[in-house]
Amino acid sequence: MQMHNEWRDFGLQLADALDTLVAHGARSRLHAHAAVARLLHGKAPIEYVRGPATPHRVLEDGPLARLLCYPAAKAGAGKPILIVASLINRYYVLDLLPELSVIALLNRRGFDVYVLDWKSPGADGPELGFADYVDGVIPSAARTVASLHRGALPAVIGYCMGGTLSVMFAARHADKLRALCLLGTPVEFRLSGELHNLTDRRRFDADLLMDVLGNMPPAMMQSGFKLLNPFDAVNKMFSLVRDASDADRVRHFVALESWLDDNVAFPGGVYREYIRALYQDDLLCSGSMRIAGTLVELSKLTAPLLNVIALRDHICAPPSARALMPLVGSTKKEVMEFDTGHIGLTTSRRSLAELWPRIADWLEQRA
Amino acid sequence: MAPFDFSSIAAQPWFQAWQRAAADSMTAAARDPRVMRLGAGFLRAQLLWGQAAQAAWRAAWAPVDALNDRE
Repeated sequence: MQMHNEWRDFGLQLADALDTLVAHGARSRLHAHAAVARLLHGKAPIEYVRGPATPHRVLEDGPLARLLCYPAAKAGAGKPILIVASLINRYYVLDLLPELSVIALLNRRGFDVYVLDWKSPGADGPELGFADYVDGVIPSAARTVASLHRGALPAVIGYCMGGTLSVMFAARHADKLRALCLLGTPVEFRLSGELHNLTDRRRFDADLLMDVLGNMPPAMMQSGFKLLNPFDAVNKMFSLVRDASDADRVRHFVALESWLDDNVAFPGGVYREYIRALYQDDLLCSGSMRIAGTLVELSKLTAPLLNVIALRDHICAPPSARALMPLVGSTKKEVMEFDTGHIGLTTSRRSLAELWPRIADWLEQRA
Repeated sequence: MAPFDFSSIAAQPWFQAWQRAAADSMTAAARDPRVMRLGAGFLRAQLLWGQAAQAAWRAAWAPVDALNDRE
């Protein structure tokens, strides 16, 4: 037994526990901000806003993820959808508030929704790789969902980096999904905008970072995103004080900001691969990306494909998402563009009213 | 009447102009190659210190690890 390794593992587990505490603390702090802003307008504080808004149950509790089920009416009766969110963000951005929930909308449209809720990687994080997710957790979840639906394959919805994982999964396990819907998914990373610039290999050494930290702490990831628009944090506070008389807007603000501060650490091993192979070498589009020694060939992605692109996306610039279309083998493929930002795809009232009914129509046609 | 009316201040053209100017200048500063180089340098220095501290920690435990390995 190597004592320094024991200490290191303990440190990584402690860091995960601290991330959870920070998330709870941030939620309380945001409620306090909101209460002060409401007080300035002579209004009472809003009720406490919690995480996922829609009731659900845990189907499987694995070491890397929980498989959650949001049934349409009776489990096994609706058409199955599997949602793969980004590895760092919690999935419930798709279930933020009862009136602002993509998952509830899909349930109402008759879909049984299954979600992979990523867990903190802990001491195993530095040893994990894309293979554990693309060839492990995601196909296993798809199998479980299909078995609950008498063999009916799920449609997979991938959001942000979860979309990139879903693309790789669909290219390697074409027999395990019915259709693929991508939301704000970067594929050609050299076109992904400012994040590509921030991770330039001349400045950014992902290996050194992971050698020291083990896993990528959410606070550090968030500071990277905040650098994309540094005044945004100040603007948000102005908006809160300005709009605090509207209780619905304040609830939306608190729910969204609490979600932004509720993250899990990025597994160190995956982070190395993600930065080196995708952001720095852009291997996925060039066809040289390897997972567990075998190539990821995008031409083998043959499932019907819907690529939803946010035109004001600063995390996944539109050209980075569009680049996927000529590379896949799907004969039924469609791009849906919508004038919103990266998070607005799932959290804006306009997206829920105008975009998601169209996505649900597409999913229904491919059921 | 509300005790504090920020909406009217926020609606003023001078306030909106200030907001835009502040956002633009902060974004420009964050994306300035010199600032990015400086930030990357600070991060690298901090990480190298971290690496050195970890090496010292490993060395401190080396006798105990050696004993454990022998068992």
